[in-house]
Amino acid sequence: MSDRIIGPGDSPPQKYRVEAEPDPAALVAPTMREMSEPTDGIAPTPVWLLLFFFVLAGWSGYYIARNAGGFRADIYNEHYIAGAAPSLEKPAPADPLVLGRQTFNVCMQCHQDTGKGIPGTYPPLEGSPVVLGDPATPVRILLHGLQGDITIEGATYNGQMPSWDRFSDEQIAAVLTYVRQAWTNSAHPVDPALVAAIRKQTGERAQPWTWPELVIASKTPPPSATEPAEPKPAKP
Amino acid sequence: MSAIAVSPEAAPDVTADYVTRVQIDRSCRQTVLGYYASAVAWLLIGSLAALITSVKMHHPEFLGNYEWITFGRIRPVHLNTVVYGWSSMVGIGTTLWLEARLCKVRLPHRALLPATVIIWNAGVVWGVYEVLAGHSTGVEWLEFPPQVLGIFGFVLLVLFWVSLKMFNQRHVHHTYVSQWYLFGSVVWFPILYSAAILLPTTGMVGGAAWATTNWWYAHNVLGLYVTPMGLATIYYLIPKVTGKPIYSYHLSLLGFWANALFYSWIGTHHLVGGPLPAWIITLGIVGSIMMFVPVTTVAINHHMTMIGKFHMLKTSPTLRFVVFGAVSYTAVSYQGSLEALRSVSHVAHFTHYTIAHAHLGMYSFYTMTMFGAMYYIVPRLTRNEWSSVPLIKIHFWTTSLGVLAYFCALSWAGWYEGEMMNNPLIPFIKIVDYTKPYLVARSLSGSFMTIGHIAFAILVFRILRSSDVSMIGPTLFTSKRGMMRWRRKEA
Amino acid sequence: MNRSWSFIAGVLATILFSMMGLIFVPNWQFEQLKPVVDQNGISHPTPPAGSVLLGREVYISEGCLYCHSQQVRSADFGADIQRGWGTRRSVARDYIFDRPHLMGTMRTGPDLENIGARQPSREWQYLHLFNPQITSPGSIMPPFHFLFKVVDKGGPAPVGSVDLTANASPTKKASYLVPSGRAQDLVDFLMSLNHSYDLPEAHQ
Repeated sequence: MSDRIIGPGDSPPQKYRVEAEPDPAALVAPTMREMSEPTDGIAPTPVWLLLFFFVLAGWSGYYIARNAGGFRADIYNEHYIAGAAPSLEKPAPADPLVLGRQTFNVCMQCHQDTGKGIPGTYPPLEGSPVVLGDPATPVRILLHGLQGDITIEGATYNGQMPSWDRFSDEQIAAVLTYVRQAWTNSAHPVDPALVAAIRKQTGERAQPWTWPELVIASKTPPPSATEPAEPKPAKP
Repeated sequence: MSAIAVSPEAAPDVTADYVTRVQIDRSCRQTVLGYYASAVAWLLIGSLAALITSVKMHHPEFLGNYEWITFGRIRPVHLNTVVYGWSSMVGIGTTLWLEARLCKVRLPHRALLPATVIIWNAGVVWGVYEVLAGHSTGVEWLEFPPQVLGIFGFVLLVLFWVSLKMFNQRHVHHTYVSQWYLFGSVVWFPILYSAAILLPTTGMVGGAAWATTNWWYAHNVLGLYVTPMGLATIYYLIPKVTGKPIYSYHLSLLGFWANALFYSWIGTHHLVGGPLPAWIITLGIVGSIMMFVPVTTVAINHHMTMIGKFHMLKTSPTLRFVVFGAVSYTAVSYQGSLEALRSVSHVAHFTHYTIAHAHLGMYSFYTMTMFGAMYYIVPRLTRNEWSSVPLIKIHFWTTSLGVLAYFCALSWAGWYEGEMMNNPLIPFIKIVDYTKPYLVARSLSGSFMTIGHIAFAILVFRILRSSDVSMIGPTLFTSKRGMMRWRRKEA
Repeated sequence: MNRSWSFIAGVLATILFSMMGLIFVPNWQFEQLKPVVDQNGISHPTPPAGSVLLGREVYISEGCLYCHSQQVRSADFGADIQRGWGTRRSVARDYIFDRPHLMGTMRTGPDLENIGARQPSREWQYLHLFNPQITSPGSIMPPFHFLFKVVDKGGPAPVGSVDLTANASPTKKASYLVPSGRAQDLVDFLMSLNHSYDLPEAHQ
């Protein structure tokens, strides 16, 4: 007999030599050696477990009552409490360097977090005379964008700087302040009032600047540019 | 014989039931082995897709010129082959065998059921082709074209019909807990799958509600389809191998219904912080926390049954894989409940932490459990023994250590990724840089797991074609080489 | 016999209960959301059409959603707004025209809910899609070479092409990068991702 159990209707295995002596393997074939089908014990559910479940259920009820926003479709803040007056206090003004650093998250898509740009594609901000010079020029670039050739430190770039006029005066001033003081840069901060003044002056402009236009514009100072008299180089 | 009588107090059941079991196993043979063989093939394909995906994450140029296997296509191919290829097919095979055994009836429709193997495979092949060709639906976990519903839906209906038939013709009075879970999964999954496809494609559900439908489905695939099949297997195999009854019927009952009631609500915890009103998210979180109930219950039930039998983990491959799965189930479920909390999700969401968690569930729990099930069931269907102890050892150690390394690397990377992402002063590219070594670690641990899958595939291939090498008695981790003997084919 | 039907009834009840809560009730709530119309008569969100819709197909086809989410979390939940990914949290109304939704669950790359606002340069988009290393050295985004053609400089610049420096070009010569129709559609779609308008419910 081979090691295979012959079940009812099973054709005898033909691939194998039939051995002469009874094969002990037959007794231990998988189907024969197994235990009986599983049965259930009747241990009772522990009391501590039930208590634990009641605590969880209680917590769930509390959590739903507190955080479901009255099941309204227009309540997204889970701490919303019906009837409570909306908080009127304005958030404290952000530190310009922190605000600038955060706003720079957008700029670093091209100019990189190192401020070095991409050689041949996006100009560097670190050590760039445009960034470190008269702040009115970078403010103009941010407000309306820049297109056409521009030469920074001997390399020519021909990209398209988009307009960022959707940023507030504070944000533009902050990000320029950050850029002017980050890495090895150290130039004095930019005043939001300067941004506001230039925004007012060039409000109708629809086109991005070109570099020659900016050179001309830089010779006519903005009407109410209030720059700090004393340059304050500071490192972040 | 001492190596065979693995448990001194529980004697093997050599009674009249033996003939019934042989008959049942014979009736299942073609269908279940068909599902198993396909499942293992999909496991290998899924592993290959996973490795390509993983390498692309740290070397994006790798095979970068081939649009058909760009990252965004090969990744869903990995997910869909392991879910609808491996997990579904191994699960359906196991479901049919367990149901037949538990009802003590032979598998009905023995012409139709083997055909469903081919039909299901055709569905997966078609779906994979469409994703690779760029025709994905773009809905996670449901990338296959909606028409695949016709194919999978047909098989699922057959499966439901067969389960119902066996249940109603059963020769046992008492309904064992595994049966509830299996029956639950064959009822739940067709509903889940058809609702998740039909409601959005017919335009009844759209916009942000499509997202809730999506995650209602995707998490219920785990909770109401994969988990019930995995738990049914654990509930069956632990008492079966150890010879002990399951600890408590009451706990089984509580665990099953609590799972059914709470699991179905937790899908929206994938959208914490997202564009959904607070109440939808809150319900998802509450469902997740309430999952402590069924999970604790199941954990106690399994652990108390295992007590006194832990020494068998040294010998039995089935038990070792299944208990590994059971422990992982507890771990992944507790982790998942806590991960749903707003305070944890705040960091862990959108990061590799979630990926690690998903693999703890789908791999460490479900896949390992199913490996154990195959180690138990296949010898009964083929009437042959597993051919090599070293290969089983390789399979166990590469997969278990591999998935643990995978989990640790990605959980660690994911948590810090989340912490860094919540700090706006850290440039995004720095976060990417931070995760790179862990992504390499993922590729390495994934390769490790794939080695285990290849070892397993060799074992399955050899046992299916009645390999020349056979064992006397069960192939246990402690089996000695001398117990193997060579059989020669007739000249 | 009876027992199997009562069991099925119980099992069905649990799933229908959750379907009601997580699919039908939310859908009923969101169905009542209408776009807001600004003073220029433009409705927000804008229904996607034409090349934007085609670009959406490309976005899905290339699996962008597996690494990029399209949802901005509120200012007190994560740093999405501070990172410049949006000016307010996303709400259900932003998605009323989305079929299917593309909210995503991973941020292997940054969120794209407002990519059209925070990166308005088409040129950047093309360069970045062609080879992310050009614009973002160290990125792990896959290159999409197959959506572009590289033409040597010498002849006139092909319509819609952008300059490729010698460093960035696979031919190591200054070239034109010519986006295929699908690349143009994809960038049209990315440009359309701009939810800068305000909605009242985003603040409560």
